[in-house]
Amino acid sequence: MTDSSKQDRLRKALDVSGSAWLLEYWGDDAESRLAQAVVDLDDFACEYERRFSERPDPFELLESDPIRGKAFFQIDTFVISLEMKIMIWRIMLGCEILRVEFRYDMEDATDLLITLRTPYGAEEQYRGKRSRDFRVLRHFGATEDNERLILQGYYALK
Amino acid sequence: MIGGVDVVLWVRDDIPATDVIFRCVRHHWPKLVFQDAEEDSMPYSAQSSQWLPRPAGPEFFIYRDEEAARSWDAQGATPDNANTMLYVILGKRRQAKTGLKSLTLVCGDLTGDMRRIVDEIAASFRDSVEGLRYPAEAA
Repeated sequence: MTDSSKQDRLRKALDVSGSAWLLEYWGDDAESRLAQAVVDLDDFACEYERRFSERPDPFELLESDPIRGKAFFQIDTFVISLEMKIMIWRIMLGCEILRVEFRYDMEDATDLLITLRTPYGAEEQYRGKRSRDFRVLRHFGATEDNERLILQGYYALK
Repeated sequence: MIGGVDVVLWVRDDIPATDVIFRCVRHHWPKLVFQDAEEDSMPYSAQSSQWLPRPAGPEFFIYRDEEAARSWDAQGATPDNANTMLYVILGKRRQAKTGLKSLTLVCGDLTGDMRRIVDEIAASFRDSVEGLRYPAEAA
């Protein structure tokens, strides 16, 4: 697939997922932002495949299950680190959010460490790399069990 | 069909309801077994894939485990398998002003694990309804 067709596919995915407003928001930078997003998504797929021996396909997910796939094509995905993209995909696959450690200090670096648990019981850790990685927290579903907060799932914002 | 209690929730239709439900139920029933309402044969094995189950239709059953699924299949509702199955109906009714869609959970009674499961599902959908939204999308 050529770079041009990859950009077209992403443009269509943004449209289908209700994020087409991004293109207008990006304005004159839209083409370069699209091109960078394509590169980032390729990097994500390659790194994910290297780690887990299977290639993720967010476009296929969007096609087969638009409501679920939409969560991946929101603006936050395009500004967070590769590590967080992998974390998102693992949650969307079915991992549980076991632990979130978020340390913020106005005068120091922010630290975000998320531990997931696979359906098979293995734990995986993902550390934020960019200041904007905290945005993933906005998409976690939240519920309660006996007054205890349970974070689960990764969903599109309204 | 199973008597008991109907709980009607109002949910956003841009949130994957089945994803939310299975995550909540799995929290309490890690060996859950699910069955589409239209399915004839019973799926006796717990989910083996990392993917959460993806029901084909708007109605499906979730059993606590394989034993519960077998019991329901063979005998229907009995005192022994009480509260080991949740019947989910993704409804078509819609609230006029909010646009939220109905979702009905049918269970034996709201006690024990079932109470916690239903409460957890309700809290999860409540959070998504009350969640924030981007200004650009709010207009």
